[in-house]
Amino acid sequence: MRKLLCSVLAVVLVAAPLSVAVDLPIAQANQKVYRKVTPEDNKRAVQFLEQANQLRAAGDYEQAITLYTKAIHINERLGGYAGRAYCRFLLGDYEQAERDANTSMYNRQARDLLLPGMMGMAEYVRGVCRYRRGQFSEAEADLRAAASSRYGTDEVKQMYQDCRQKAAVAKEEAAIAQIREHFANAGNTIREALQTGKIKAYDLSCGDSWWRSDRDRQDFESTMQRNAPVEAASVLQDFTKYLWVKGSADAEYVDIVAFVPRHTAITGGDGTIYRDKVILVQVSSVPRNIKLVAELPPGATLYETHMVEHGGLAQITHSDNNAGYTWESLAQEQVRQQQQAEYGMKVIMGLPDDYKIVPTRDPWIYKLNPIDDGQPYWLSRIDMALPAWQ
Amino acid sequence: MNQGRKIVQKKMKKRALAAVFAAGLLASMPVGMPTAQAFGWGDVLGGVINAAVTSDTLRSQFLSAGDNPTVQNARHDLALRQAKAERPVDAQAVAMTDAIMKQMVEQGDYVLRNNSLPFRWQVVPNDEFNASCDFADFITVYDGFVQKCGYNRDMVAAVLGHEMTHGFNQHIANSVAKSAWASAVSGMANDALSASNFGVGASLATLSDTTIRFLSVKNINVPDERDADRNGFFVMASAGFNPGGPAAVMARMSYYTEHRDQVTDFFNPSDHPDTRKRLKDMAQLLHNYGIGHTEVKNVNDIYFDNELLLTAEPDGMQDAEEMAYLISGGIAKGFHDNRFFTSWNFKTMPDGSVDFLTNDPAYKPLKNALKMEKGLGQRFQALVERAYEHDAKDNARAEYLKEEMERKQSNRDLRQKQAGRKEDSDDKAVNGRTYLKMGLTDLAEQEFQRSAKLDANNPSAKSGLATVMGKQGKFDAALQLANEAIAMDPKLGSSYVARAIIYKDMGNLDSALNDCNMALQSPDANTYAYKLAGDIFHAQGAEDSALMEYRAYHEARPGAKDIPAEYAARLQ
Repeated sequence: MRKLLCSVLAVVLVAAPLSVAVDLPIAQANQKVYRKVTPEDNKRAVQFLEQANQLRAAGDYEQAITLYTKAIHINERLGGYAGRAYCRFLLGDYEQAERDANTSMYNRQARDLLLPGMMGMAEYVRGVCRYRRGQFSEAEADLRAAASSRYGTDEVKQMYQDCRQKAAVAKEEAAIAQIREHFANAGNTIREALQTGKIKAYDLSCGDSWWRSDRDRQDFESTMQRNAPVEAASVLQDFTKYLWVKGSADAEYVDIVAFVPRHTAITGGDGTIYRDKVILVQVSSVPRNIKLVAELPPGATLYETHMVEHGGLAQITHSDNNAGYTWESLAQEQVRQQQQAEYGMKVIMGLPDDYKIVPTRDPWIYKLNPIDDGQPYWLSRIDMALPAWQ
Repeated sequence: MNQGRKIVQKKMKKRALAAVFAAGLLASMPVGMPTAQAFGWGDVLGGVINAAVTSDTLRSQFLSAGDNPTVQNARHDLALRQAKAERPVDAQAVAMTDAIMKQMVEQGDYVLRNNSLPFRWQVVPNDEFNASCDFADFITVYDGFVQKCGYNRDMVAAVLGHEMTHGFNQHIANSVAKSAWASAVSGMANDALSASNFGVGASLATLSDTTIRFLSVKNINVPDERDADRNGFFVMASAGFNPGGPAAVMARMSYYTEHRDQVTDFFNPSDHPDTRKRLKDMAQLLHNYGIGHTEVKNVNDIYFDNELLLTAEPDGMQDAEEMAYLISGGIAKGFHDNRFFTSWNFKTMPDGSVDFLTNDPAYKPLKNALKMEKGLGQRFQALVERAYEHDAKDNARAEYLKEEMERKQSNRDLRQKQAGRKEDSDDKAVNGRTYLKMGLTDLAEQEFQRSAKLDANNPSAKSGLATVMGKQGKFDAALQLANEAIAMDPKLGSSYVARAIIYKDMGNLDSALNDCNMALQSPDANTYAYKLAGDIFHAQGAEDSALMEYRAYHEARPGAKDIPAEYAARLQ
């Protein structure tokens, strides 16, 4: 019995250090494995590559492809993808050429680019292939690189310019689609906040005198009619439901602002009712949240934009902090003056010098472009049915 | 004398056994557990002997916590706060993960036990190659992992399938119970867990980060990791992904396990089998999945029925080995999903290449590879035709798919067993309501659906679904469901509250107030009706009435924090 126990103890004690030793090969068992290549094989693959490059330079593309493929099959890490891409491209096999160019750009090393003709080759192939398929945004960077290499013929340079323009349009369309989604999320957030009572907003257009005269109303209606994709009769009614929102395209947070029009009132969790006042509301989509940030300080400056044509947007800027903006619809100069008197704000006609508003293809989305080509902001509306204020 | 000798022998035996036990306990301490280190294993050792919580209790605590949406939500918030990279999350990684998880959750073959939550996931900005699933079915995905997979959907799906398995097979809770070291951590677990009652419906207002982090300790043992690999394979393959993905991602992982400084949790060799062995396992599953026709040899040679078909090449970010498994996966999927050769629908294209099956992206690597060489497509077609002829004679399908069929049967049995537990229906409805409070309507809907499936006559499930429909703006359907809930049990106040919320959202405030009254007069009254009535009166401008309702609500639920501040101040 004692012998048995001693044996067990011995096994346990010996096994502990052994288990450490047994662990050692695990590191090797975890290593990345590539196809086994003997030095002779590797030498042969290098020779294939050199011959393929010579054949490519001599214009024998089909034979070059065969040799490139042989080299790649022996040692995938030697390269040869750009050369094969170029040959396939010139033979009209654009699909395979683009894939090879892509592989080359992921796997090449700096020394590969020093070989004759390699600089810009993969970019040229991939850029032109993508251009042909109408993928202008994706092709732009490749064609820019190709244009400044030996492949930068007039045709390629022209392609690059064309691509830039088309890529810009595509980029803006993608941005608008994204903005639309962001604003839809913001709309849902506000809607949810309204439903759950987190915030409250009321339509005051029935009970309060938003329009001081019929003329004001008509002016505004005609303004909105030009702009709105909705029927004239419903424009005014609809407008009372809109919240204007400003956002940023690149963040998952819709950047800032919901504008609460004068004819609505809104309350936050603390029960304060903001009525006929401009406040900042921070809306984020992920996680879905909403909070009232601040009421605009009395010392804020109100800028008027090129108002009438685009629905009468006005920019109000904190006098001490330019980070916050709110937008308000203004019907005419009279209103502007009244605003100035009521809010005690400095009201300046015209856009701030460093921004311009650019309409987009979507009639309800505007781009707010800084003059210095900085990050643009976007403006949109949120449709919201609000209960009447009683 | 003899007797005295026996006593000495017995004492010796006891000492030896104690030594063996102690050695075993120390040897099984989790040496390389990065997350757990934060809790100070040294301190915990002292508590080993005095551990107050048995492993079974610990397991049940983990399971309770794992079925509480509030805990899951706390994990979600913590994941967001812990996101390391100071940059926006990679939108492409988010979109890809969302699409994959949706497909896996909806189409994958797995069983979610009644005491498990539906899956929730979050992609966070972190450059590390990592993903993990915790006890509450919350999956954290680092966008760096998706990027480092070259945005390959099948490779990402393989890892997500693995992580889902940890969730639906409740590995963390089970490992706690199984592990010898569970007793060592139980004292700490008790400290962390005893303060909170995690059960279904517990509100957990003050769930500390420490507790949440503790619950995230990953101590999954190697057999469970193997289970996650194998089940993950079948989950992702049954959801329609390329079954070569798991082997391909193991090939990619072997690079990262070689460069361990870039590796954290998912690839920690202390709790995972070694990567090349895992790759071999996945390759074997792939071989069987494809009725034994396809095999990868020499790293990137693809054999079809022991005949070299082609040598895979790198494609974009995927290296040749990864591509070999993805190509092989296309072949396997084709054979697995099609019982007859004619279903492949081979056709020769104008450029001489062959096309077959569908445009499913799972077949893309195979189709691309067959275009690399003239005539290769036609040769492949001939091989496939011949393979089907042999399969019919050999009964190969039944033989190779035996493990999968057994798994399917086991899932069916488990599903049936879970479906018979009618008593779990209420818990699911409670979870649904908790999700609703968090604004997570989709997850609420899933829990109410599960509740209704477990007990079709559960009015809480019906009224919960009615509320979900109302939130989605489907008022007609919502009202119908609410009416059905009331008809099932007219004494249940919560059903009237559900209908009142719908009426309120529709703007029909009078009907909403009527239902509030019904909810309060019911034998099983629901006092949330006071709050709802208060909100309605407030919206109507009837402040005194609103105050009265809020007062009644405050008296009925003194802990409630959802009374508007302007009224709450007046209640003091």
